[in-house]
Amino acid sequence: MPTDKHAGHSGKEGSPGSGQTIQAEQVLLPDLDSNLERLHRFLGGGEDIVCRTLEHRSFNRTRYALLYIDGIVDGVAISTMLLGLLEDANASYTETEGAGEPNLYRHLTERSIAIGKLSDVNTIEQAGYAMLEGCSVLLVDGCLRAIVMDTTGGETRAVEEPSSQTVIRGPKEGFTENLRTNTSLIRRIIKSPDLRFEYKMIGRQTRTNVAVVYLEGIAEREVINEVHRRLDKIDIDGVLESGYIEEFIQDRAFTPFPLLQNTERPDAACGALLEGQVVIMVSGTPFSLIAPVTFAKFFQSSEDYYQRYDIATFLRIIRMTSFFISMLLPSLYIAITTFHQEMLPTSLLISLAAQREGIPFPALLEAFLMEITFEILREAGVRMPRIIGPAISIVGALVLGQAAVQAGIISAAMVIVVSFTAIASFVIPAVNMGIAARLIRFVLMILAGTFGLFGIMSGLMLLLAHLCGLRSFGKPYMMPFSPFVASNMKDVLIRVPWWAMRKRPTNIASDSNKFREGAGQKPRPDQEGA
Amino acid sequence: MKPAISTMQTAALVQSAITPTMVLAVPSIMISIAKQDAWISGVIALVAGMAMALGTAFICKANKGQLFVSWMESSFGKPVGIAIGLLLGIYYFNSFCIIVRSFTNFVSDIVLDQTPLYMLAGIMVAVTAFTVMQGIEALARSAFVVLILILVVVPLSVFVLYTDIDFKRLLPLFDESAARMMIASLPPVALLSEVSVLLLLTPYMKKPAAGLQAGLVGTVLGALQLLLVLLLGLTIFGQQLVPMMSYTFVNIMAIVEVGEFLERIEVFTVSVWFLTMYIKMSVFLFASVHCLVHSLRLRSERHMVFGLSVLAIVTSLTEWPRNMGGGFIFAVVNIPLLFIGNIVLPLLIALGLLITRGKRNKGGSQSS
Repeated sequence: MPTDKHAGHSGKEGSPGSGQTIQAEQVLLPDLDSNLERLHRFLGGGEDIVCRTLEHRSFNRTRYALLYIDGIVDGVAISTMLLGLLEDANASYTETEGAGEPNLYRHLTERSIAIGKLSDVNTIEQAGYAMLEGCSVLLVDGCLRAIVMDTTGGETRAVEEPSSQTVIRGPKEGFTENLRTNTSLIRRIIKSPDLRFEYKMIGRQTRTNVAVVYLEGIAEREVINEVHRRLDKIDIDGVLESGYIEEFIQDRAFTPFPLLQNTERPDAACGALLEGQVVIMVSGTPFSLIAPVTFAKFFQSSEDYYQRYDIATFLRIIRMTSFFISMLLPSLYIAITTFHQEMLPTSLLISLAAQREGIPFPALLEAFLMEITFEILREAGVRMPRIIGPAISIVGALVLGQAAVQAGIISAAMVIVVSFTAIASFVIPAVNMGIAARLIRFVLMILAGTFGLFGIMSGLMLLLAHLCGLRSFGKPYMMPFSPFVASNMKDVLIRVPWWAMRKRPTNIASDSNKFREGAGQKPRPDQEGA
Repeated sequence: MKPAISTMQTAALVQSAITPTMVLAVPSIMISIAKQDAWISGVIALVAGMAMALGTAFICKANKGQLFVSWMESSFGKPVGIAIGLLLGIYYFNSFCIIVRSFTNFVSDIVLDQTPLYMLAGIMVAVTAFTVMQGIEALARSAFVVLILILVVVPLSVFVLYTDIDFKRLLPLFDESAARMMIASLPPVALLSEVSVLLLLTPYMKKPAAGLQAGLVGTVLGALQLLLVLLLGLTIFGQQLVPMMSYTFVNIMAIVEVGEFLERIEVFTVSVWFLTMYIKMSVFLFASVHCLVHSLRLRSERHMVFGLSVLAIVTSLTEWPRNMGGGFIFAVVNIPLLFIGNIVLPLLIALGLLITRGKRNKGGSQSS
């Protein structure tokens, strides 16, 4: 944890409208009982607040008290420390009092406490907030300072395989809800002295720890400063997930497209750091944010870099195609069957017309019914207990679809279109980009039902103009397509071999550290005598 | 922060300002005048277009990074600068209305004959207004993406049409008189003069000195597309059929069949062309808004975009009769307007700059 974390948080405490009144902090008094009483009062009491008072055999039998909140501290660390304190309390020392403060305080900090990270505070509030974060506080009678020991711990989820970004080949570790665990996962991958973690505290009530992570010299200084500036502006009661922060710091509020990437994979976060991006980690969630991002980044998976480049390229093209299918297929079907039947060969047209005979709804309404039904099924599948999920899928996809076709409510072609669209939407690696495609699909369906292909192209023009106007932390969202950056095209639609990707992405990483690998590494075994 | 657009993006904007209208209505007019030699008129137009790009870039060189109206004011004084700004703003607005109406007619003729014109004009102007509101950078980037799309689609189209092409239909060469060929090159020259939009775009460029390059690339790309449509039209249909076609390139695409799966993909091709059309309309609306906002000293571009959009819908729908053909709009309404706005006005500006050059230099040396 940062050494300055007890000093306050980045939000505007007590700002107008915050509902808090500005109060002067209560300094620690020489009387231990008074301090204990005030600290209990500050924390609002509660059975989970543990206070163990000791009396030292030496140092004029000075009393001192250990306080912590049960459940959020590391039990083993507490037991070890307490054992050490008890042994120490019964030992005899012959030292005399020094000037200014009781010697017990110095004795405890320098000789007795078996905790790596110590700091001291001098107000009740600082001590209380430290305890709320899982630290233990040691108050010494007659002393105007308290010792804060980092004993953060308690029950947390173990490191598991990420549930939302699974890969066939690649690391299976995922971030957890514990910030310290997450930073350690990054540290284990990037063992560089240039790796920087800068901490903030956001949320008046939740006081959530946020870490801004970057590689010094590789990330652009302007971007780092901008990240800090935007985070410092946040003033909110609580931050329960990185999504809260995302909405505050994105470049444009009204857009269906994600302007920050999120990941629960340490390897993906490290990949971003190595490309000069900044990672924002939030305590309490396994999802970290990555900035700045471009549109193309959402079609890349960390696995692309572990598989062969040709396979990765093929998969990227499939993903990009799937994005357009998931966005456009129903609207194209509506436009062609409603307005441009002449585009279809006669046999196909007759087949489609035969299927649609007796269907009481126009293609637009039919598509809307199916799409909304599918969205309901998808949402139900997410909310249902996992055991029931597959059953719902079978009932929804097979029984409901089949029954709807037989009942003459929906045509079989429409079921195929909607099913294929749904499958295509799952191919997009970034869930938030998939959601954008889902939302846009409905708008395009309305345009297709009203203006045919002209409507679809009008919608696409709106999207293109909107996308070209977007920025992520000042970087054009449509880069490297427009503005065109030729060197970055090596890792967008296609992924060239690693030995050909010498440069970091231009205009994302700092210009001072462009190269990520040495030159001339293309394998030439025949010339090397292998 | 002043927006910055790259040279290629500027070239894409210039190309977009020229091509959509040029490939739509011009080929049949040209072939009706110059018959099988119409493509030579296209080459003449290309050379003339390049000369106009050179001339425009030469005028732009006198600008030291100021926005157009400010530049005119600093060169000719406030009243003249404002007058030129207003004049150009009105010119671009008029052109925008004509484009909206001709495109509305086209969409109505080709794909949506049952849809009321006001619906078509409404959605066109709404999309254009939205695009302009995204700013010149977004517009330029969109234009570049659309240009890339065209560069992919055009070779593909030629490839699928290859079997229908018969180069003998171009013979005999130079059968028409030079005068007829020159007359046939007038409509494309008028449209290629749209390169004058560079006067407004150069201050936004990252490298204003590359204005010439952008103008030339945009003009050449536009003229080459016209040449391609002319050559495809002549070699596929011959010089007798094309004059009967209102929209030659649509008819060219209509003969394409992709296996047995898709037929008559002209609707699809036209749909892709819609994107270029939107960019063209956006360039003109942007130019109009830009000139009027700066001339009238307005603070909000958004309000001007909204106001002009509403006015454009009403003007484009009520100014001309319902059954007015694209050729009529082009020949009678557009060509004179194009020559005045894109050639006469820039020539006057150039003349003015030449006359006041000595005075400016004197002022500059005094101030320094």
